[in-house]
Amino acid sequence: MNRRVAFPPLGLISLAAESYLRALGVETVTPPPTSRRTLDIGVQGSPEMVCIPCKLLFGNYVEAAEQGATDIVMLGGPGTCRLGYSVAQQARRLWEWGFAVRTHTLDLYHVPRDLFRLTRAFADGRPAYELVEPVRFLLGLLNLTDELETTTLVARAREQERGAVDRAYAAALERVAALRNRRELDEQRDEIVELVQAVEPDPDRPVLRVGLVGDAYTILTPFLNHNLEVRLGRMGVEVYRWFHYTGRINLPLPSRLRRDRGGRARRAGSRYLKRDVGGFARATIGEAALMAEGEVDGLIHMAPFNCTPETVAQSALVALQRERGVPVLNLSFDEQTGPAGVVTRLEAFVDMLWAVRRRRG
Amino acid sequence: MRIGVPRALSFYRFHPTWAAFFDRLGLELVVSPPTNRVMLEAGLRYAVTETCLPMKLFYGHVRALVGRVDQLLVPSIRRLAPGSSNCARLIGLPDLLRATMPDLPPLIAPDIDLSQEARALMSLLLEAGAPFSRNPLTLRDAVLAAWDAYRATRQAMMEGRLTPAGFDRPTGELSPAPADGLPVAVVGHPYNLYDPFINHHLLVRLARLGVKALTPERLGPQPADDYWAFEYELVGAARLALERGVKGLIAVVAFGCGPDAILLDEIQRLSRESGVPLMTLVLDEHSGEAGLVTRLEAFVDMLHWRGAR
Repeated sequence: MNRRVAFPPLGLISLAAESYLRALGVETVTPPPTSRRTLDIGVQGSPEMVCIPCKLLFGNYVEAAEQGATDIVMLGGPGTCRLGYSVAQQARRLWEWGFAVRTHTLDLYHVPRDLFRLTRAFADGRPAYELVEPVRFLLGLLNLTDELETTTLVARAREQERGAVDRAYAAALERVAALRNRRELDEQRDEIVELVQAVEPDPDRPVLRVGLVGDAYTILTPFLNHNLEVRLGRMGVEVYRWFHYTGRINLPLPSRLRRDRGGRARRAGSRYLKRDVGGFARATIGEAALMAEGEVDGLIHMAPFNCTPETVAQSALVALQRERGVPVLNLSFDEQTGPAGVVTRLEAFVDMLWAVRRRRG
Repeated sequence: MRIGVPRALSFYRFHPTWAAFFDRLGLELVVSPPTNRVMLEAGLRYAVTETCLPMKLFYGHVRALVGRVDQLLVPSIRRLAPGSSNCARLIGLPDLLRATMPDLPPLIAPDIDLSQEARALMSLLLEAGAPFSRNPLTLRDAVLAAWDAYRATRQAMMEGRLTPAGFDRPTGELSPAPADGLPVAVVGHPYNLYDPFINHHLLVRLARLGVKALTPERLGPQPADDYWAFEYELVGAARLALERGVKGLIAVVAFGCGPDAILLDEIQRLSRESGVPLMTLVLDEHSGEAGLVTRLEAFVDMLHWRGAR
């Protein structure tokens, strides 16, 4: 039987990953977007006390297997986060549930290395020079999706007609999904980005800037965070998230500062968290420390309930808040979180940020 | 110079080691008193709400020492074996503490990474000792004493002559388990098993019910190829105990423990495969004593009934 590879839904990374696999000549299966059903499956197949990303990902894997995937790319790898261990358990459970699938771990701590390894596994002995083109395509895709998304996150705050940006964004994503190779991408790139940029902004509208820090899975999964980014955008907030597929940051900074963002973030964060405790904790606190220096009006820290590395980051944020006086909203998400509670807290936080800004003049 | 040691987390693993070390350097160790409700409440004021109960108690024990000591000993335990990994909270412990409490005394915060054999422990002890003594002979003495204490403690615990509850008492403390009782494995991290406040005197209650509790440190040498640094305390110990023919398994975990959330699944598998009944006790600051007592009695009754059948 032919190999049919599935990649779990994870922001636009899955879109880029699938296009890449197709460019390699591999057949792909697109699992349905994370939904209530995904959660129900995940809860059934996971230990009770494990965090919600582990549960949702397991649901994604099952749904991918149901769609006929023969190979599933699993996120995990030995960091210090629970995902490092849960993948082994999840792979075994898939077998126990009767899904005869091959599982491949994408180690989040060693993405380039594992990208190479998985490419070799999927490309079935094709010579290396034939792989150069698909890899260039993947990098181009990640760059493009990054740019699209960061533009959208900022543009929503100033849209004149509600939903205009999201319609343009959806149209742009369709174009991205249809790209076949690097040549097409280079030709259409500007047009695609233009789709979102063409939405007429309201230049006079006062907007706030809020930085999103915390666990990347939570930030990238609208089902889990109740569409937080869109809701913030429609409240007139420009959203800057720390996590980007290519590691770039989208703040309007001179390019010199933008280049060494990662290194500067590590240095800024080491004041609050010296040791690498796994997950995204150190990156979170580093970015938060940089953003707190006047780049944003406030920070929102997002984490799954009881995320081990992020509870460490949350403690470090307490110190940041104390020293820098930057407002921080902590939001944690699990299967019990409802949209109403999130909306109320977001509205209160945004109101408070406006009050702070008015007082500071 | 008085050095404060919170009676929490790694106290229950490494206290005799540190005690021997600092004793040779002529420093006085001050251990916080046994856990009580006031300490828990003090801890709750500082800890992030979502963290686990042992962490919250750790903060409480630190509060009990602030103002009474000149320095605090808060090691960061990174790794115990190559390829293994520790809980994020235990690795980041000194950072966490500094971030949440502005009025701390200076911290002695060595990084413990035992993945490169015992030599790592030596160098770390030197790291922790260098600020206190310039004399290399004294330091060498202290390190050797610490290493001896580490091994002697493990041996004594394996033979049942000492439990972590008795670490700071000169005579140690004997395990309360009756020798001819019903053998039941009680697996969990030592800070969950040996702090009577956190588990409502679980071990004493079991002894009174006629249960011979086999705890992880009694079960002997632990395999070192686990992913989580302290995985052997749950899964490894449960496996060894099943080989010895225990009649029941009790897993004691804290609510919100990252690694244990996943390891519990492994213990459930072991229990299913071997047919030995399992009871899971999840501890948090809301767990009441009455519920625990009822469940324990019912579980032990069930084990006796199975034995009689």
